Amino acid sequence: MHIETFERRKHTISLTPLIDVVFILLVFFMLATSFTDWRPITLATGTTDAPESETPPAVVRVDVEGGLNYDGRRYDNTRELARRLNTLRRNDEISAVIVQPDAEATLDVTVGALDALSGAGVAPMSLATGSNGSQP
Amino acid sequence: MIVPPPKRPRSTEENVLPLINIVFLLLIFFMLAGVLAQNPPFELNSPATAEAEDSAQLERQVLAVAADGRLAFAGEPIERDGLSEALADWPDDKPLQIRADGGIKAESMTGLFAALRSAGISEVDLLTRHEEP
Repeated sequence: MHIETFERRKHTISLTPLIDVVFILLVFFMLATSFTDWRPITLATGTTDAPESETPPAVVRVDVEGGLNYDGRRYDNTRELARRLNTLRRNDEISAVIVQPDAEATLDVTVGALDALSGAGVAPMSLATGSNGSQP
Repeated sequence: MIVPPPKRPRSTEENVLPLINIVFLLLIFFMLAGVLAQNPPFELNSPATAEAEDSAQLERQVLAVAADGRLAFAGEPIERDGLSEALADWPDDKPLQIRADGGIKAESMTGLFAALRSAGISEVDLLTRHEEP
């Protein structure tokens, strides 16, 4: 009886340990990497030394529920406020738009207001974050 | 007596080769495309935006702020008093990236910004998650 023997396995490292290690590395990198799409909002930590201009900025107050208040009026419709701010800006009655959250307003609400206004085309815009930024 | 023909290891090795190719490609993809996440030691839900346009790479050193005001810098928890020490050699012209929880009240943000200002940070990048409208 002839039994075949194998004499050719002497040249390579066996593949199984290699695959094990590569799989472990793969799983590590899959779990440890993050693919979140981060979008930054650049803010100044204090009042910047901007030159005083004659035209004042418009201050939009954000209340706890996320309502936008400007000029003593609460706007439920962001587009309406954006249209008014854009008109004022075009007529050079305001120099910029400052979004000022109430002391109790959360960051979610504030960022949402900022996002909605910039989506409606209001620019330039900044967030009041200075030490006097939380007056009622 | 019928002896079953022994399996030929050569052929199984050849079958495994495409698998290894794919796995190597995946490995290289994850190594190059992803950023190694530096997760802070607490739960964090960043606010979402739809309109912010520029994208940002997460830096290695990010200040994380939890909803209850706890801080972590580069993945390590720190106290608010230790901020200026941790940020002592932060370059002036580079904004500090902040991952803040969406539930933080504006007044505590104001306090945090005052602490950052006294630590010598003039500009920060508030990181928000991008969500399609």
